[in-house]
Parts: sequence; C-alpha cells; structure tokens
Amino acid sequence: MWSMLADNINYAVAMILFCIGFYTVIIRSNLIKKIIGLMIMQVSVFFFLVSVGYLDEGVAPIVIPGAAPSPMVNPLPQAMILTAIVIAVSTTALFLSLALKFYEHHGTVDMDRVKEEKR
Amino acid sequence: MSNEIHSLQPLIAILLPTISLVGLLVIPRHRQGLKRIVHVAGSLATFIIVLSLLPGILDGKVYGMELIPVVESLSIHLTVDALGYYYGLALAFLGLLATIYSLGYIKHNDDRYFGFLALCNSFLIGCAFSHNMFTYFIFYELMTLAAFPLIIHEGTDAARAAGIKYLKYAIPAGAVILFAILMHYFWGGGDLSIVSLGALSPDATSKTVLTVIFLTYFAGFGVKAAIVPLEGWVPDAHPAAPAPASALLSGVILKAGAFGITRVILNVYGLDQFHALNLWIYVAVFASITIVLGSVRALAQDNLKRRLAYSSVGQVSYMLLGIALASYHGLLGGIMHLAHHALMKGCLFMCSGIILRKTGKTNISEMGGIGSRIPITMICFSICSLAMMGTPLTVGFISKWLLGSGALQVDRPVFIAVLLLSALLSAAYYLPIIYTAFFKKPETDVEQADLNLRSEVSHAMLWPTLILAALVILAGIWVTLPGFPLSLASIVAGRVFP
Amino acid sequence: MSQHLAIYAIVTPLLAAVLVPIVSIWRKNWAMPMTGLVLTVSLVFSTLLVPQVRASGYLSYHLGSWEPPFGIELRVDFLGVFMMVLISAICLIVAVYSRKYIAPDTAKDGKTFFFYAEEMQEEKRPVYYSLLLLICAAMLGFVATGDIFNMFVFFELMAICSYALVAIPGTRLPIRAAIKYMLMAVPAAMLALLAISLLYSVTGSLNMADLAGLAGSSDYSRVITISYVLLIVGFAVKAAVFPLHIWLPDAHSKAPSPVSALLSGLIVKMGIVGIIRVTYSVYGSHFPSPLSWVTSVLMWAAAVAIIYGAIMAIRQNDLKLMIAYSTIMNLGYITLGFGLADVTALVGGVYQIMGHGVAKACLFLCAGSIISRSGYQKIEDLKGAYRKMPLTCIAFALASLSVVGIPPTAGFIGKWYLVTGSLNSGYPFLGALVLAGSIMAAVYCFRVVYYMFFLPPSGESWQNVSGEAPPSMAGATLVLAIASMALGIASSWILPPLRDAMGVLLAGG
Repeated sequence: MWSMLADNINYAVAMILFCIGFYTVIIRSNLIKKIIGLMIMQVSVFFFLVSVGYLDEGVAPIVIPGAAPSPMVNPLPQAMILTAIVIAVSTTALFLSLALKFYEHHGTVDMDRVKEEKR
Repeated sequence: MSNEIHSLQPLIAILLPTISLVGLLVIPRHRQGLKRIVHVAGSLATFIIVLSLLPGILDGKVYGMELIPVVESLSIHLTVDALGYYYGLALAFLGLLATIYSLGYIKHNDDRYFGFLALCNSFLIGCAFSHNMFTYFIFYELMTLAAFPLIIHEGTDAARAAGIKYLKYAIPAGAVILFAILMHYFWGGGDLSIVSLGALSPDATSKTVLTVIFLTYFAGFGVKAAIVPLEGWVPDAHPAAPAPASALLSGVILKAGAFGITRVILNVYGLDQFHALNLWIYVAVFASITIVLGSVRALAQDNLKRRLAYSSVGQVSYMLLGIALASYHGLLGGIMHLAHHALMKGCLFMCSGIILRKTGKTNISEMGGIGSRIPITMICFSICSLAMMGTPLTVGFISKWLLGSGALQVDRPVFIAVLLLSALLSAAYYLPIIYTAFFKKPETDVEQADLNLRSEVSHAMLWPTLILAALVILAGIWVTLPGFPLSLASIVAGRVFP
Repeated sequence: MSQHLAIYAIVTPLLAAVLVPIVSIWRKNWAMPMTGLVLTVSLVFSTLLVPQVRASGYLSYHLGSWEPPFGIELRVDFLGVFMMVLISAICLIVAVYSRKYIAPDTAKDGKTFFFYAEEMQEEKRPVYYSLLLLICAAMLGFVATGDIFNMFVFFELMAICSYALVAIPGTRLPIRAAIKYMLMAVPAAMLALLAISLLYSVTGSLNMADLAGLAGSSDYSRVITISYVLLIVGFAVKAAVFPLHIWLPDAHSKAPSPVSALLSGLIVKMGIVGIIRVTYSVYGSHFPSPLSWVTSVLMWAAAVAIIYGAIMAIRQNDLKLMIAYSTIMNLGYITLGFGLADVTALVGGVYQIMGHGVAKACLFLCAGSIISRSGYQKIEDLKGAYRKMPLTCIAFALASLSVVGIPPTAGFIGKWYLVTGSLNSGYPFLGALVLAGSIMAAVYCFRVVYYMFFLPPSGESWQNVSGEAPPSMAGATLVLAIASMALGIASSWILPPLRDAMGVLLAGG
C-alpha cells in the first residue's frame, strides 16, 4: 500500500492541500484568511493537474528540428493550468476588492463580528 | 371526429365577447352611451351566432374546428355537438340577458366589471365548445380567474373575503383537475376527447386506476359544481356578487363544473362502463346528500341571496343525480334541468337585484309588503319560485317529473324519496318569501305602486327578468319546440340510448 | 460566413466588452446602444443557427481548424442553439431595460425616481455594460462548446462576472451578498476543475464527444464515478439545488434588479444545463447504472426544493426575496425534470428552463420598475399599484400566470410534461407534488397581484409616485410577459425538435 502511495504522492498531496484550503474557507471567520484558503485550494488543483502530465524522464515539450524524439512532459495540462491560474487570479482580485469594500463598510474584516443586518 | 363539419362559427362565438372588451378599452371614458351599445351588441351578436348553428345541430350535425396544436397529439380543438351546443346556447342566452340587466344594475367601476363579464362569457362558451379535456381545462381555468373580479366587484370587505374564499377553493380544484387530466392522458392513451365515446376503458388500465381517475375528476369539478362538502365558497360568493353576476354564477358557472362531470361520465367513460365500475354510486350518493343538505340549509337563511345560493347548491346536484341514474328519462331530466334551472334561478337572482335596488332590503324578514311596491318583479319571483317547487305548467315540473320517472325506470325508489323531500323543502323555503312579500304588512308605510311598467324599475333590469319568467312558463307548456331544451337533450340522450 | 456563425455569436460580445469602456471615455452615452447593438447581432446569429442545427442534428466547428480531439471544438446541438437564442434574447432585453434603470438622471421627464440601493455612479456604468456583454458571451460559449475544459473556462468567466454584477452597487448589502455567493461558488468551481483534472488524468482527452467513448471503456471506473460526482456538486451549487441553495436568496434579492433578472433567469439555469450536458454527453454510457443513483438523489433534492422554495416564498414580505425563493422552487422543477431520467420529464424540465427564464426575468424587471419608481420593496406596500403603474402590474400578472402554470402559458406546458414524465417513470407522487407546488405558487404570486390590482392604496402611500416606468423599462417587461404567453401557445413548433434532441441525449448521444 505504501508503494501505491509513493507512486501517487501527487494525488495525496493535492488532496491534503485541497482539504486544508477548504477547511480554512469554512472555519476561519477572517475574510483574508478565507481568501488565502481559497488560494490554497486553487493551487492544490493546479498542482494536481500539472503533476498528472509529468513524466519521470520527460524533457520540456519543445520540438527542435533535427533532434532525436524523446519522451516529453505533457504540455496540455500546463496550458490548462495557465488558463486556470488567470481565472484564479481574477477571482482572487475580485474577492480582495470585495473584502476591501467590506472593511470600508464595517471597519473589520472579521465576518463573525458583524451582525447580520435586517432590512 | 370524422363527421365533423369544419366551421368557423364556434371560434367566432368565442371571440365576439372579447371584441366588446376591445371596444371597451378603445372607447374614451365619456362616451358611456356608445359603450353600452358595444356591450349589448357583443353579447347579442354572440347569441345570434350560436343560434345560427341550431338548425344544423337539430339535424344531428356536428361542427368543429381544430385550432393550434399545443402539446403533441393534443390541440386546442373546438367542437359543437348536441350537448355542447345545448350548454353554449344557454350560456349565450343568459349572458345576453345578464349583460342587459347589468347595464341597469352596475353603478360604479363599470369598465372592469363589463370587461371581465365579457371575458367570462368568452371562456364559458369556449368550455361549452371544447373537443377535448385539454381545451376544456384551458377555458375552465381562465374562466375561474375571470370570475374573480366579478365576485369582488362591490368592494366591500365581505365581497373581498368571499372572493378570496372562492379562489382558495377554485385554484386547488384546478390543480386536482389537471392531475386527473394528466392521469387520463397517460393511461387513456393520449386521447383526451370528450366528444367521442369511451376513451378510458378496462382494456387500457385497471379498475382501481379508472376509479381513482374518476374520483379525482369528480372532486376537482365538484368544487365548481358545489357538491357537498366542497360547496363552501358558494354561499359566500353568491350574495357578495352583484345580482347579474350571481345569476350567471348560479345559472351557468356552477353548471360548468356539472358539465365537466357530465362529459366525463357520458363521453370519457360512457354510461355503461360508468355503471359497470359502480362509479354511479358515488355520484348518486353525493348528489343526494347535496340535494337534501342544500335544501335544509336554505331554510335557515334569512338573507335572500344566501337562501337562493343554497337552493342552487341542491339544484345542480339534480342534474348529476339524473345522469347517474342511467335511465333514459333520468338522463333527459338531468340535462334539461341545466337550462331550466338557469332560467329559473337566473330570474330569481335578477328579482333579488331589483329588490335590493328598489327597496334596499336583503333579508327576507324585512321584505314585508314589497309586493305592493314592485308588483311585477314579485310576480316574476313567484312564478319562478313555483317553478322551482315543481308546479305543473312550468319547466321545473318537467325536469322533476322526468327525474322521478327516471328513478322509477331503474327501480330505485329511494331517489324518488330524495326528490320528494327536496320538493317539500323547496316549498318550505320559497313560499314564505312570496307570503311575506304580498301578504305581510310592511314595516313602514309605502305608497301603492300601480301596475305600470315604467315606474317600477329601469327597463334594462325589468325586461330580462320578464323574459326569463315568461320562458319559464312557455318552455313548460310548449316543451317540444325546436331549440327548447327537450329537442336538444333528446338528441344527446338518443346517442346514449340508441 | 455562415459556417462561422457560432463563433461570431460568442466572440462579438467578448470583443465589445473590451471596447465599451474604451469608447465610453470619449462618448459616455454610447455604452448602452453599443451593448444593445452587439447583443442584437448575437441574437440574430443564434437564430440563424437554428435551421442549420435542425437540418443536421448538430453543428461542429473546429477552432483554429485544429481537428478534435486535439483542438477545441464547438458542438452546437439543438439544446445548445435553443439556449443560445434564449440567452441572447434575455440579455438583450435586460440591456434595454438597464438603460433607464441605472442612469435615472437621463430620464428627462422630470419625474421622481428612486434607485434601490444607491445611484450607480457614472463611472460604473460602462463597466456594467461591459460585464453584461462578457456574461452573455460566457453563457453563449458555455452552451455551445464541445470541450470540457473550455466549458469550465466559460463557466468561470460567467461566475466572475456574476459576482461582480451582484457587488456593483458597492453598498453594504450587495457586498455581503456577493461575498456569501463567492464563498460558496468559488470552492464549487474548484471542485469542478478537480473533477475535470481527474477525468483528464484517466482518459487523456478533453473533448466531450471523445470522452463519451473513453469514459465508457475506461478501466478506472471508480475515478470516473468520483469525478462525475464532484462535477455534479460543482454545478449544483451554481444551480442552487437544495441544500446548496443558501447563497441564492441573498444574492438575488440584494443585487440590482436587472442583474437579479439575469441571475435568476439565466445563470442558475446554466448550472442545470451543465449537469445535463455532462451527464448525457460525457458520462452517458454509464447510465442507467452505475451512476443512476445520482439522478435519484437529485430527484429527491428537487422535490424538497419545490416544497421549501414555495413555503419560504409564501412567508416573505419583501418582494425580491419572495421572487428569489420562487426561483428555488422552479429550479426544483427543472432539476426534477432531469432527475426523473425520462424523455418526457427532461423535455418538461428544459421547457421550464425557457419558460421560467422568461417569466422570472419579467418578474424581477417589474420589481425593479416598482422599486425604482416608488421606493417600495415590501409586498404590503404594493397595494393599489395598478392605478399608478398599470403596464408594469399587467406584465407582473401575466408572468405570474406562467409561474403558477395556468394554461396556455409556457409554465403550463413545462408542468404538463413534468407530470406526464413522472407518471411515465412510476412516481405519481412527484407529479402530485408538482401540482401542489402550483397551488403554493398561486398563493404567493396571486397575493401580490391581488394587492396590486384589487386593493386600494393604504393612506398616502402612492400619492407621491409620479407614474409609470419609462417606456424602455415598461416595454421590456411587457415583451417578456407576452413572450411567456406566446411560448406556451407556440409550443408545438418548439417541442418536437426538443423532444428529438432529448431522446438523442438520453440514448447517449
């Protein structure tokens, strides 16, 4: 079983990171910490996807005319992750600006300290 | 239907009242006279178009027109067969008289009232001329909603409460009917026709399912048809609504529910199957309970319109009892009672409206001596009351006689007992009104009115009342005239009992 | 040209979204007309796609001429083009409505005009239109694409724009609502990405048609199952399936009304469309087993959602909150259509997507008109609204008819098919539940209609209201209301191809 874990260490690490991030989002009441939790979640998924495309003996996936063909690392996950990173950055930026507005309105970034407003 | 003659007339009949609605919206506020003409013209034209179909129907023809297909294999499809035509003719006629009467009765907020009156007429005729349950349901639901502003027209708290109670009963009833229709659609093989015979049959599905579908239909339509225990909205809605609307409610809108049940019994199930499945017991029992309870509760009412409302509750069940009995005379009597009761009760409600307008009285105990003030009205009232009791020479006698004979034909004398009991009770609650009106001393001194048509009450209110009262007698004597109920009902009964 | 219609329909709003803020630096008033023009172009293109899709079953377009499964493929089937027309139409109407709503000082009629939270400052308006265009492009791309990662990208784009649109007024309540929304939706999006990664890791392909074959014959069926569940959960949060609906009432009621209309009318539906697309186009070969338990779970969740949404809606006193809970109820209907796994029910659910989308957008826009003219947000303040704002009230009443399911509106057709489908799959109880939901919908919708039409205004409440909403706003609501009626009557044109398309989907197409 340990060898299976060692073979798939990237799965395990990604899942642990994902759970840490998810936990942070749910449990912590500070908005900034929640955002950090979200970023950890995002990073874990990116890490997982890139690691799926990794080959132990692979080289960078650039075709050089005349070179001998050799196993290359899969470039598709890397392209996917770049796109996903852009999305994650936009989301984080938006969330941070919302947190800033929240701070302007309430004077704190801690969600628990602010009572639910009744209209 | 293969022998259906393609005709535009049903569609025109449905659309004509809405044209008067358009006229209402377009004509500016100050041209009241023009608006009145448009109202009357709309309902008159509708009546004439419907009447024009009479010769063909009497010949046994069927008219129809398929409109747009909506759901696959189902379309909005109009058909005029004998039963539908009969109901439609009664609708158009009563609608015309109610519109004319309303011109004299309704004092404020006319536009909304007349607009929804026209819509109600439209949708009711659509119900009468439906080919399948799908079309029927569409018009039925729309009619239910269109009747709401009529009920709350007076704007009093009681009227609003009555209207909301009406909706509380009618909207769940609509959902129940829809469920029944969907079960019917699913197990009846997608054929929702209510014009041809017997789509639902034991080969299609089990007896339990057939019974469940019928009972669901019965419960759903029963709210509108005022079957006990679903009649709770009726005694509040009828007094609250203005008199012409009450006349329509009792005369034709309650009948929409009964008509639905009739279609389900005669066309969806077919009378033989209806008996084979023992479903007639449910209808007969509930109808009998309603007849008796309706009459008993009518006795206890002092408010005239409430008494008339409870009377209607009982009378509509006469129709259902007649059909449930599955005899030729019973069927004939039940169907004829649809129009007969519409005539009689319509006239009674119109009289109550005149009483309200002329004397301001709503309770019977206060109506002492009004017979001398509004003699013509009270004479009409007396004629119709006597008809409701079943006096010979009136239409009431014809329907009751046929129903009784029908009960004998199937050898179930218990229902004759029900009919007799109800007749006795009717006498008990109608005669005192006549007595009070003519023979009791009035509380305050009122001047004697002379038997002068002009001074009694406005023409608009008087003439429809007179026409209805006259018809009550005429249709009771010259029963077999073409176009009168018997001619049409016998075509219907002839299809069922060839 | 005609072969590129699909991509043009998606890219045009995308480009315009970038251009609008730039143009607004010089010409402030051009923002809305540009938006309207671009959205009309999208609508025209989407409509032109319909006959093409009808003729050949589906359209396949290879971006950059790269062959699938290496390139990104646009695969527009009937469900896709149906949604494209719906999306561009509703976005266009919302854009027309927004003109006077967010810029009340341009109303030259001199009538008083409240804005519900705070007036949207001038510098925000081009951003608003830009976001509107982006979200339209994202939705169009979402339904048209045949590549699962592309679908995720459009999904995220749509989500980010929706967060921003909810928060755009910048005051307390919208910000809180947007934060709550983001806190639920972003993790859900990460779950979806994780699912796609898992799927890719065992199949090596991102093209949905390709995946259908690969997923079926894969050896890693457990991984496939897990990825499916994660993906469904990710979409389910967006689709506000019970119990993941918690963000919806706040977000939809605190956002500006045209944004609420878009959210309730379209964006939540994208979640369900995603679920349908993923279930049948990607994992189709796994059905009816071993993944059919997922549809059963969704079915029962939908049943609970119907009851919950209806009860909560009846209890509300705030107009927009009531409409938001009504959305939860109707989403329950649509999810039920999916969960029953029956062709008829699925047709009913998809028809509800269209019918409810139009009706709910109309309801929110009417609410916006009323709030912006009178400042009243509570239902009890709506008494006698008909006298001052007749057109808006009529539109509200017509849209309510569709939500309740009175024939012959679009809502009725959807419910008809749903109940028939539930009878077909042997769950008559659920059919009765659908109709019970109708009754409850009648309670909360007709209560508002009754207040508006049949009750006199309490005291001085409507004296200061100067009158009907401006023509663009009132016209937009009326168009939607009439459409909800027309879509019911015209259903015989839309239903047969829809039924065929659903049949193809269910067979694993």
